[in-house]
Amino acid sequence: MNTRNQTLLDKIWDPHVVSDLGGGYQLLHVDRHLLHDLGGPMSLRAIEKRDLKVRNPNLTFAVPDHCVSTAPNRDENSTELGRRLIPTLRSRCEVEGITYFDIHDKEQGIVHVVGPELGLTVPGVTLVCGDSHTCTHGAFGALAWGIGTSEVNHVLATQCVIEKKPGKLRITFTGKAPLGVTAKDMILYVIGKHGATLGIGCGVEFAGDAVQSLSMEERMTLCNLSIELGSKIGQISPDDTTYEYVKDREFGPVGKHWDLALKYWQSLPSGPAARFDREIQIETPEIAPQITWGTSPEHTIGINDAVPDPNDAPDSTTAAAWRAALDYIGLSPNQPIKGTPIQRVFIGSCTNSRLSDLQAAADIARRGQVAETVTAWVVPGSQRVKREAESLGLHKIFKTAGFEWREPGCSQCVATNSEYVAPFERCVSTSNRNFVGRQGPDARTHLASPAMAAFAAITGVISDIREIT
Amino acid sequence: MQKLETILSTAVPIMNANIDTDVITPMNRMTSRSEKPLSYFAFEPLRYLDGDADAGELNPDFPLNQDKYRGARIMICGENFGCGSSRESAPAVIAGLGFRCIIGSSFGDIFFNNCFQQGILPIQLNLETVNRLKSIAETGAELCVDLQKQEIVMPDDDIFQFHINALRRKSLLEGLDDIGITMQQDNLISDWQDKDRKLRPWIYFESAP
Repeated sequence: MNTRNQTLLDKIWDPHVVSDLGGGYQLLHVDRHLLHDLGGPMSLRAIEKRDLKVRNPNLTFAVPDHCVSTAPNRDENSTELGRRLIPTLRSRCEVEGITYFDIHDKEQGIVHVVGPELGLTVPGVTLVCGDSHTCTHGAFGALAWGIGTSEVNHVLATQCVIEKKPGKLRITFTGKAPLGVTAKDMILYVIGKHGATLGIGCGVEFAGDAVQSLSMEERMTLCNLSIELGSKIGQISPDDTTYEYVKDREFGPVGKHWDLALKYWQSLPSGPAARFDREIQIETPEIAPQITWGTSPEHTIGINDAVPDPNDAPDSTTAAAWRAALDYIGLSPNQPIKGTPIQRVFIGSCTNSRLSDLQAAADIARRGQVAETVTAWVVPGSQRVKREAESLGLHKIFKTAGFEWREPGCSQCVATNSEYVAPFERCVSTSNRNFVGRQGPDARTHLASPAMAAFAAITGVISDIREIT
Repeated sequence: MQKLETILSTAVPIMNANIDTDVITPMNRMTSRSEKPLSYFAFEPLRYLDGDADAGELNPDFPLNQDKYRGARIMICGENFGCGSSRESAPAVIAGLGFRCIIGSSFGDIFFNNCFQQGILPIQLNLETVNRLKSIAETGAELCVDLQKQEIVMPDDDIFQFHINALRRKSLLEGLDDIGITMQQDNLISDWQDKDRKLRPWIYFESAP
């Protein structure tokens, strides 16, 4: 095979095929399997019940994130679900010989933040987890995607997954991002422009100078929202930025293995004549800071745009969806979104809870006070992020400004741990989904970047980060 | 898993675009204890008035609540059905409501795979065909989905062909379980790992020479 024609996805997929099952399905080896507290206990129990063993416990890692409380001084009993699930995860991991980072471990955190921090996520690996935001790990040039419970059971028992090779989509961001425009704005813009179905059935590769100039943390944000574009796989070809990040991580290759690995990784980027089924070009300089107005990530507009009018919708199905979304979110057609009062701000989640996200938010927080009408939370993505942020004094900046500084976990992104946004409260959130009920029953979510969220906390209304003085 | 060969049933059209897995199985219902089965809360924001299953007032506008669709085992759905999270409870509650087949123009990728694990046949057809099926379903007519022949047979014997992957078709027809099938190939997995260990030793956390 001429590797000039091969994409990053091809170069990882093809050598991972253990056997061809016919009809397009293949049995793929899984190099890294991550478990969390919501799905892990059930799957480990299912394996036990069937009298099976975890086939390769050394390739499996577990950490609680979904069900943990993020309140200061929390423990596993702080939430009912944690009390029910965490002891099972801990004991089954011990029996099976799976490396487990407990709730008080210095490496605990959101599974998609912790994997890269520990060097579990490196270029060229196949990585799966029972969580749809596993696409985050593709930022390293890994082949990573979310799987369902039965598939998790299958991976535990066989270290393989049955999959069909997806189509290939490339999204190329050309030019430079304007001031105030982050990786979050770039991906929300694409979803807003091309819709939440653009990538269905495809693995998406993000490319172009505006992507190459992103840091690893920004790349993770970009890939994290691939699933909201319809692609369960999102990737970026590895480069020096990638290698620099993964070097000297606890579970990454060292010594002669590093040299061997690096040589292999350098062969992975999509070739100059790589063939994609579909190509999309994005002019990055045209992107404004983005915010969602509705109940799908495709309901995204620029901060200075007006809320869409269902009468202007392209078809009747879309018009109906827009009407339902406006009804739920409590906004009127054609009103400017800027200036809409809010009650909540959530800075966290596997999308935007890493050190640079918190630094961006803190840079805004240091300039003011959280509005009296707003409750604002900062939930670091991991214990490591929390430690590093505290060593820089970010926690003091947040606390002084009136933000709550909390413990690591998924928290209000998915509200598994009962940390809800109250009914009808409006929340600017750095998370990834503005679905109906996602942050709690009747909660109204507006997705945005960390700086936009922090600025909204201070002004008490949805605001344009470029207008900060 | 229960075998699936043919389904003869009315079909309920739920045509909203982008129905996500949080709507199909709200997280607060998955995580709190209830005497009611999770399927009682399926589609809660759409199925119950004010999106509140505790009050329990069914929304008469939601097709699932309409008499003519009662007992339907086929669902016809809008674009990007099942987008969002990887939770397998989404197809599980749909199965819990009695459905064995979902027909739509596009599905969330992870949801699509999860359907097979729950013994549900997801059929992808072009938008035009889905809309025709929707119109037929609205008359209350029965459709016959024949997995063996990969056909949907209308009451007037008109036929729509569909395609389903051969492996998935076999698994549904025979009620097979993926783990059992793959474990028969365990020697292939070991061979693959032995070969790979030499090429990429760092994958297996072996100490560097």
